[in-house]
Parts: sequence; structure tokens; C-alpha cells
Amino acid sequence: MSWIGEEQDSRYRGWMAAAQRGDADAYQRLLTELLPLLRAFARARLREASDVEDVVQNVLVAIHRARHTYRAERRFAPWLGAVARNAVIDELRRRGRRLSREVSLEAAAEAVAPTPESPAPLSPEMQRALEQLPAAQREAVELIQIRGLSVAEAAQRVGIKPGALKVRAHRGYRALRLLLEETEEP
Amino acid sequence: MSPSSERLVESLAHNLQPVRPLPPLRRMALLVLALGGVAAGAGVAYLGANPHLVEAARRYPAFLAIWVGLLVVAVGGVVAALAGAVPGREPEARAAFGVTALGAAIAVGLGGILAFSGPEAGVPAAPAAASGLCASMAALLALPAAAVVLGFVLRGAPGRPLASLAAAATGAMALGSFANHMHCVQFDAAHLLMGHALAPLAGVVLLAMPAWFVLRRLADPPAPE
Repeated sequence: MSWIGEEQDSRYRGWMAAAQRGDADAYQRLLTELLPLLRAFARARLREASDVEDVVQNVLVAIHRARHTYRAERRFAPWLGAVARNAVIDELRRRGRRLSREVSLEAAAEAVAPTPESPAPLSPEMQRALEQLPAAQREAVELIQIRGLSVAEAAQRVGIKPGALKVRAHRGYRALRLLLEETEEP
Repeated sequence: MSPSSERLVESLAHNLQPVRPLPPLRRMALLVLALGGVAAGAGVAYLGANPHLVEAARRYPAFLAIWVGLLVVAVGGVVAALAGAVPGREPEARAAFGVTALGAAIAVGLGGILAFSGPEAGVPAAPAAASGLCASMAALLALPAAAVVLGFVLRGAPGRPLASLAAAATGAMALGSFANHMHCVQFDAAHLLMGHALAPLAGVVLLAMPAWFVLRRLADPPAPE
């Protein structure tokens, strides 16, 4: 984070030291000022713009968890840069692992996959849950699970890379599961 | 779905708890090395110092090389582990890893060459169990230092957790082996290499791997089914 100037660094240092003592206002000011920096940091390291907010949130959580490792007599920028870099690397590793798991799940699903001509029938609960998903996630789930397209075909149809489509679909599955669990609760 | 980053900031600030900052690295490094010294002193007090220590260091070059190498590995490993656990201190950690590698080259490389080509090669072989005994003694003497360094790494936020834990275990075990070197009276080449110079490697298996599993559990708890 070399774009953090000396004056800015000294302000952040003070806020972080106050946050370590439990000053919530100072902490909120610090994190709010860091948001644009973190967005720029994430944008420079990710191919998909849609992933930026997720990564920024992971970095915020990483800052929160590692806040005790900062020492106020040292510059803030190298500490922040290292925490952010580590959080981004961790996130990319996690995604890599998740995508490789999904590839094997997809192979198993292909045997019973519906076709574009005969989409899989949906229960009313599933239909309602699907409608509550954000448009991008709904589209990914519909194309893969309901229309039966392969990830590559679905990605081509949407006009994004297969990896990005898998991430959207994965988020969609997760959200669907939560929504369906909510409807099952008495 | 996921809350906006602005809402997350509010939530993190709202739930903020005071924290105690990690102690400074220099103080921690001195504490660990002092603990190593105390353990060495206790070991010598309990087991007795090798009465021929100075003479052995003069007579057996491998003995001296391994002793110096272990000290360098100990300092390098401990500093690498401590610095690696603190975000932003990676340059110091990298330099300390270099020092550790240099120490290993002195202890194992130079020590090994000297041991098998110098007067140690002619010393009657110690029983195989002696090497295990020395490595175990090194582990015992390393425990206080290892507890402090590993505790610091687990409490910190290492970018490369496994490397930091391995450095912590190697450094602490090298301290223990350095201390053990002072009262061991076996000077044969194989024993010096297996029981002393290579003892820090056992630390990686005995200390770093269990700590690694603990750290992974803490960082990434299994998702509920």
C-alpha cells in the first residue's frame, strides 16, 4: 500500500491504536477510510469485478482478526498491505479448492442432467426460492441445473469466463440452500 | 445475500473489543533465547557439563562447527518464526530464514564433512540409541522456548503458517540441541550428525505438525453439515 502517504499513515496509526483500546468510533473511521483503498487493491488483483466486494469483505474481516498484531510505533501501510495480500491469497486458494470440488460434483451430475429441450421440473418451493436470487446467480443456476448446459456452454451464453460462472452458480446454490432451509423451519 | 462492505464495517466497529497488542519482536526473541539459556543451564546443572568441552571444541572441528551451526539455526529460526507471524515483518522473516539456512549449512553440511573426514571419523561409534537419547534431550530442553515461540505464532497472523511453525520448531529444537551439545560426551561422526546436527528436523515433526493442525482448525473450522 505504497499510496498511503506519511500523514495518512500517521492518522491510521492513531486510529488503529485507539481501536486496539476499544474505541469503536476510531475503528469505524479507519475502516471506512480504508474501503476505497481496499477496493482498488482487490480490483488490481482480481479478474472478475463481481468478486471485488467479496474479497474486500474478507480483507476487512482479516484486519479485524489481526488487529492485535499491529504495533502503533510502526508504519501502518506495510501491516495493512501484508494483511490484505494474505487475505486475497487465502481467498484465491479457497476458490481454487472449491472449484476443483465442483468439477467432480459436476461430473457426477452429468449422468442425470436435464437437457435444454426438457428442463428439470421444479417444486413450487424451489421456484419461489429461485426467484429470490439475484439475477446473475439465478441465471447461472438455471442454465446449469435446470437447462442442463455444461459450465462452458452456460458461460459462453452469459458471456463470462467459466470460472466466474462457477462462482456465481456456487453462490446461488448456497443461497438456495439457505432459502429452502428457512422455508422448512416451522 | 452477503451484507455490503459498509454494513460490515459498521458491524465490526459495533462489536469491537479491546485487544492486547502482540509484544515487540525484539523482546520476544530475547525472551526465547533467554529461555533457551535457562534450559541449557538447567540441563547442565542436572546432567553436568562435559568436562572436556573446551578441549573437544579445539580437538574436534565438526563438534565446534555443529555447535556454532546450531546456535545460528536457533537464532535464525526463532526470529523467522516471530517475524513471520506479524504482518508487515516479512522482510525480517525472509532474512532470518536465510540465516537459518546458513546455520543448517554450517551444522549439517560443514559439520558433516568435517565429522566424516576429521578425527571424529576415527572415534568408536556410539550405540544407535545414544542419538535418539540426545535428540530426546534436545526436545526436552527445547520445550520452554518452543512453547513461547509456537504460542506467539498461533496468536499472530502468519502469512505462511506452516513455514512459521516449522521455523519455530526448528529454532527451538536447535536451541535444545545446542544446550544438549554441552554435556554430551559422544564424539563419533554419525552420532554428532544424527543426534545433534539433525535433531532440529525432529522438531518439525514433533512440534510444528501438531501446531499446524491446531492452527488450521482455528483458522478454518469445519463447515456445519
